[in-house]
Amino acid sequence: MPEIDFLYIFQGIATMVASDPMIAVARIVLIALGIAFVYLGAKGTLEPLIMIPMGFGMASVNAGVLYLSATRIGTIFIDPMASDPAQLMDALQINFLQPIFTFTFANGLIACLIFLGIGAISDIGYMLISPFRSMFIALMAELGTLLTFPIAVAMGLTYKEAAAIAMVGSADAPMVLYASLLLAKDLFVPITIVAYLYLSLAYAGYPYMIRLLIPKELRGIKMDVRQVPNVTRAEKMTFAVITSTLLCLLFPVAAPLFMSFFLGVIIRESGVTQFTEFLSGTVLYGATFFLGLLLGVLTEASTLLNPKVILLLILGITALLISGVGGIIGGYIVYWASGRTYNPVIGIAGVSCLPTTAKVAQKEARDANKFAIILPWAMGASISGVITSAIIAAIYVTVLR
Amino acid sequence: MNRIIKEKRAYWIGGTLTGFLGVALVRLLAPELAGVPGNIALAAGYALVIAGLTIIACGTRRKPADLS
Repeated sequence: MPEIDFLYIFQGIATMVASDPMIAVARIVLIALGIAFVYLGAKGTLEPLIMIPMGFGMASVNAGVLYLSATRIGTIFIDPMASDPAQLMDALQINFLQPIFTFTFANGLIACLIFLGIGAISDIGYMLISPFRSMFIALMAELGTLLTFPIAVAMGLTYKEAAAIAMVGSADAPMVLYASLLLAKDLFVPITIVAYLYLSLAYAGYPYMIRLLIPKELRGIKMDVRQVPNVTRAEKMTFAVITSTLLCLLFPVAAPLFMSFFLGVIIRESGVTQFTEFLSGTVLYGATFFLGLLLGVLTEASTLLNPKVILLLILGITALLISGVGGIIGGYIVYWASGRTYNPVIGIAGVSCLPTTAKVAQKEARDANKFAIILPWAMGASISGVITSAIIAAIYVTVLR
Repeated sequence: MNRIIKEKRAYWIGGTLTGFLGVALVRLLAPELAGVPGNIALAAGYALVIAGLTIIACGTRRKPADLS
């Protein structure tokens, strides 16, 4: 009977023993972190839709390392750097998630699919309640996206990398993915992971920011629900078509995102319920599931040992914090300009992240005054936030690419 | 409904034309002009697009009487 080398059978452990100690430690940490994400996602502390598949992918990919040849260590999940056609054909036949990565991730399709779904759940009529105020708040909530760029450059990142990480301030993870794929492909994995991680934390952290910056009597300001106009479907569809056309003409580089979002809006308003259910259910949640899973699988130890990751962690949270503060400042400005009738909590909803921030705003207002209804205005600011985020991303990509 | 459409037509047509005028400034005129005039055309174009969309949005507003 031949001698059995148990380390050869259990290659996940053998590769850990054979690799650089730093890599081995990082793999163990990432496996533990992945399991923690699954636990925190299932518990509801972090966003479960992303964190459960992402955490599971993270733990699996760092455990499933094997000998691809006598001298080469790797996984059979994905090869994000395969670009040469022959190498890519090999990767497509070996790595089981490679087709999804190559045909939906590397070309930004997954961001567009998510935008289609977001469009299908967005009632653009909310934005039309007070479009100027909504857009103003959304622009103010891009403060982090704008201010983090020079900070990142000062900290040593290139212009493209700085713009990609600054996009975290838009609080729109598909947009961050899209922009980082176009601007800083080598860093798109850590940047997108930072974005999703922080967005999950923002859901828990923004309520504290609101309570810190806005006194209770202002949080409880009641809005006049009779102001909400009854916008017809035809008006919403026409507005969506014109806006999409204008934005595509101005920013062709982000045209796929604009088209996807407004197509979702139009399908919702067209009343074709089969398509609406398909986009807001299967497409949105299918894309979100694979986005989370692929991001987890892309989180190999070697990727996160890049020294720039620490910088990205600092800059990502900076961007989100500044954007949150910017949104609240916007809310305050509208509050003063409206003769103190506007609830400044709506400002936080300008930080996009549809519909999470709008729900956070409504919950905080209701906690302060159980009769305060601000959700329609908050949804309007949030939808405007999606549009302003796409505009800022387009400006960065157009100027820097 | 027809009455509302007639009343609001000016907003929709005016807003759309203003928006497309802005696009023309940004995409057609600004690239032809160098230096400060180009930047002014660019800024004016973006402002016109935003103004156009705002005008259209204002066209969706209703008086309570319109809803009855």
